[in-house]
Amino acid sequence: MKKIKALLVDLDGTIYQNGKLIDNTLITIQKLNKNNFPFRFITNNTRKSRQSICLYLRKLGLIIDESYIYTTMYAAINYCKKNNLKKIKIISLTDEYKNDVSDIDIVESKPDAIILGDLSEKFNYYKLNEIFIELQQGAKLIALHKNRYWLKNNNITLDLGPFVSLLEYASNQQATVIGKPNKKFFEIAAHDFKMDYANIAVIGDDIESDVRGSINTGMQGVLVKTGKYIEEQVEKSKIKPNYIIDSFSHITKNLFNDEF
Amino acid sequence: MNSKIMEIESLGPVLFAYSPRAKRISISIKDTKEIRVAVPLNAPLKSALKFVKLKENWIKRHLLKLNSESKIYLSKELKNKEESSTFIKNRLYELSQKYGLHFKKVTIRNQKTRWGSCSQKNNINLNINLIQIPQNLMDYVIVHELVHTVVKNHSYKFWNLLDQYIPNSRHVDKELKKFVLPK
Repeated sequence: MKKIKALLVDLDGTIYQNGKLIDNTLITIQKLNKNNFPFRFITNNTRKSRQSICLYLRKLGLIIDESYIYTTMYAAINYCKKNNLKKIKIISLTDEYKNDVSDIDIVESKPDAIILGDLSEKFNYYKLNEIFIELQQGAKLIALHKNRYWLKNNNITLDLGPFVSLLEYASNQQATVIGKPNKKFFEIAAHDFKMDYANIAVIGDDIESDVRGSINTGMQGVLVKTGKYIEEQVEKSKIKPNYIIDSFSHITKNLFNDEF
Repeated sequence: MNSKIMEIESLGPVLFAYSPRAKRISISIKDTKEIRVAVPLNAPLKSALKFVKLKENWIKRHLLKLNSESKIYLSKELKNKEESSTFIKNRLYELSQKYGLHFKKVTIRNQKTRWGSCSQKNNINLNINLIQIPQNLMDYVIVHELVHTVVKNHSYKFWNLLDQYIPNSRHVDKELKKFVLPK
């Protein structure tokens, strides 16, 4: 294993859980800062802007700069800028994304690309047809993620993925999917590091999106035993994390050879 | 200063405050929806009342607007004050360097009414609650105070200069007003 020289850290379940920072998170971040160790936060949260997430973390006591946070929406906008897609139509449940949008032309019709976020119960025939027509006219489809379903109040419910598939099928084009576990997301978040991917570790509680995604990108995957970690699932999984640690704070043992 | 509260039909209580500084009759509406009328010492109360009647629609419109404008009340509880304070100071140093606007000293305080201030001697005070508002607004407050090291008042000259660093600064100033400091 190559030496870890930078970290991409997942938020929910890794840094905080149930409205509280996970034990020793603050002291770990302080250590990283003290050692000028580069790190960024990554999250698949599609509903919150990096601004709101930053303020939330500060409320919990984690004082960081907004620019340290990578959300899927931010990454999608970044992707559009890089690929010269100038006129963007954004499909989203809230207008939170407006906090993250700058130097980009948001349009209602004739877009170069459509960023498809979650609309949940607001997806309907007319909305989907409207998007389909734009795609037929040449717009590119960019999806924030392609998860099949999620648990809403413990009930299984449709996620964004099925709608992405529907639009892909209808328009006969493959969507560019941005969120974890897709390479693009990790690449965009790691851009500031300017180093070999093998020196970057991704830390998260999700063996699929965090660990598989990072390993596929050529980074190291570190699984934490907090958040949604379930031992049996990890044992059954074909994906083997490079490291499994009790919680985020234990990474300093690897990085700086110290222990709590 | 003499003041009098009068009940006005359709508006409710209105405060008439005689003020030696008032040059003309003026109406202001506070965040708390209190209607205050500043009256010059030499103006009769009757004309102030007449003025309020004349502006009744304007007052109602503003009261409605206050109802619809959502305020964000910041939390009294601040975690990690030390790092918050360091973060704000570092941001001040960064922006001071970036724009070449120099100050003497900085103090971070938990103030109840002001986001920041700049003294005649160019000492800057900043409110620790800046950590609770979006980064662009924190930057706005910091640059606002830094511009005061060059222009001490809020004249056109001040806003023009501020606009060079924070485009559309008056609009950003309005955004900031949504956030209410903890009492």
